[in-house]
Amino acid sequence: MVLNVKDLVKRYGEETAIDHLDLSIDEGEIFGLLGPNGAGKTTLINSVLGLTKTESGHMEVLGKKLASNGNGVKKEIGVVPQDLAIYEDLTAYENVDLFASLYGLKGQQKKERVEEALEFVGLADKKKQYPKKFSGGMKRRLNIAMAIVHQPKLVIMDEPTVGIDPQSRNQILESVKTLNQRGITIIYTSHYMEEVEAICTRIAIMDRGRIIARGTKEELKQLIDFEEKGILLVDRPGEGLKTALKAIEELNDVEISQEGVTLTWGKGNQPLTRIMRIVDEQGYQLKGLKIQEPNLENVFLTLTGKTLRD
Amino acid sequence: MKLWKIAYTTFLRKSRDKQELLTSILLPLVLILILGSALQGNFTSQTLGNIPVGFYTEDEGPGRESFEEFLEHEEIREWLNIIPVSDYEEGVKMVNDLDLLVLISLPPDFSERISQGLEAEIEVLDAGVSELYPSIVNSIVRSYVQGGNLYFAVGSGPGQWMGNGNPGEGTEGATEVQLIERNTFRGDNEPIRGIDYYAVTMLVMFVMWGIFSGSQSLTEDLFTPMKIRINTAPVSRLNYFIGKNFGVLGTFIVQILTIILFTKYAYGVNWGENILPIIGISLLLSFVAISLGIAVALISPSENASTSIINGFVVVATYIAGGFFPINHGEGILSLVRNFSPNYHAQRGIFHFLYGTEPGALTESILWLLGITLFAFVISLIFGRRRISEYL
Repeated sequence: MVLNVKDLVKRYGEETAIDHLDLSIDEGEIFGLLGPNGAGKTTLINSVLGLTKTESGHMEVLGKKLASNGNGVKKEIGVVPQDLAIYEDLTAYENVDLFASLYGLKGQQKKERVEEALEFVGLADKKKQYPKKFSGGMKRRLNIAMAIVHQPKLVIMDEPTVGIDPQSRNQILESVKTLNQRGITIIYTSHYMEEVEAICTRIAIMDRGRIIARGTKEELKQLIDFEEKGILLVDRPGEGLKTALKAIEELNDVEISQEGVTLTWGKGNQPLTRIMRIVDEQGYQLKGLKIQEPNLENVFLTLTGKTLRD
Repeated sequence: MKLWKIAYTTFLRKSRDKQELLTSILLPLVLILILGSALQGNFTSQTLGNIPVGFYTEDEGPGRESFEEFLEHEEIREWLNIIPVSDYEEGVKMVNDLDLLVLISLPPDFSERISQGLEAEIEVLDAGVSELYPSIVNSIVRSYVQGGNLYFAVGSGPGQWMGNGNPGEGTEGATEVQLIERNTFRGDNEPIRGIDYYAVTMLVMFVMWGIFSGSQSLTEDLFTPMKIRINTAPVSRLNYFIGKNFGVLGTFIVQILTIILFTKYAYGVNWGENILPIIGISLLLSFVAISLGIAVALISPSENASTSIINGFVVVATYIAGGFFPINHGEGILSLVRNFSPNYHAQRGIFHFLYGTEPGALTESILWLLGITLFAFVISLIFGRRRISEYL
């Protein structure tokens, strides 16, 4: 087990940031911590890394207690902080090289690892440039290179894609998957539902210092009784079609909008065949049918009553 | 290994900071040239009058009374500000500290020797910072000696005093009084020129501006996201902190060497024969600056507050030390306050190596500098315990 947390409590004055939290993460996972700002994700990460003192609880990282095996465990962890932690007056190479040294790498091995890390994040050709000339996405990638240069067993990424363009975001998400394929366990926190859904093998949803749900994304979606939604695309839908569709028992609602005809039905009660038949009977030509499945946003909304970006 | 890597990287980063290079090396070089040339008058000829002159004697006889009457004369008062000094060593120290420009001293047996018709001495001691002031005082004292305010009435014989305190009323046949002129510097030294003086005070002031570096070396990683990366790296935070300050110290060495060597060869500044000890004093001051910087960073509520405190402190410490222009500390509050100015002690230490001031001055200054460093660390521990525990 890479991480084992039991009954963790962290308070800031009267406010409970982590509330009797249990969490275990296995080797080889990309584990997503999903929650809105203030949910306790960063506090949990800081507690795991020993950066924040906790009131109570038990924690083991890579099978060892961080407090008693400080530097030994730290060598096996790479941290990508939420805010950029790079020196703007050192070149990309020098930034990575400094932390390679701090993690105990030396000589030729260090040189190779630094080159490799820069290559991995796509900055090999920019290694002699100063980060102050980099775009936001490039700085984020350098932030990652500094965390993985020592080839850790566990990489903790705290919102690594905040404030960057979609292209850089995709590049970072791909690099996370590649790292994982190399056997590195990743803990990935984000309030971007799409990211977590796209790359994580298991997800924990946090709110107010607690994990309110955990599992694979499919398992999480199973937790909620979600009304599926479909949009019927036909030319100029009229009241006749609406009335006919309303006659289908399984449909909970039928609305005509500019997009088309929006239909909602209960989970697992998809009356597609009957819908098609009525469209045909009413003399409409079907141009398409878009079905919206539940996502983690819906799961989160259902479980907490608020959206992820609240 | 890790420590040296941190030190090297810190040095590298600081050496790339063009603004810091400009303010720590180029600006002092320019200021030394400007102040040294523009304020040379402070060391040669300025508006005369009110020259602070110490007067010391343990003589209780009529010779003392006669000389004091002479000094009280209105014409003399226009030139000299006579400050009685109760202890000879203290008087010498005041001369070295430029609180007095000259010290006049009569030996305890001055009256007795005169009474017995023996040769007597009047000592005029100066710090050698100027040729002008001692020459004025010497002329005045010489007029007393030669003019015969102190004399025996012809034919009255030894033991009869007839001084009336009027300069110039000489009488032939007066017992001979020797004027002993000396200064507290070694005899082979040239008097201090403006540029020599400001080379020292500006070097000291700009090393003191290094408080910013000390402050920054702590705050940079204590209050920025880099803190997370450092704290999660397998390196002792104390090692990291020491390494950073070694790097800062490296920049101080470059700064000190550049200023000393450049001013020596380009401006012809007199750095004497003891450059290494002078560099040593400057490096000790660097430690003081770093420790004060750390203390300020830890007690300041914000970076702006920290900047204001540092700016204010360095300017006041420089002023009190006479860094902008030589000032007369007298025996009042200023002479006490100056001890808390690191600039004062560093300047005193450097001047000791350049001009060989009184014994004990160097030791005293070094002890003060070490004391201020210790004080800064104690302040850091008391007021910054929480922040330090976050960092270390």
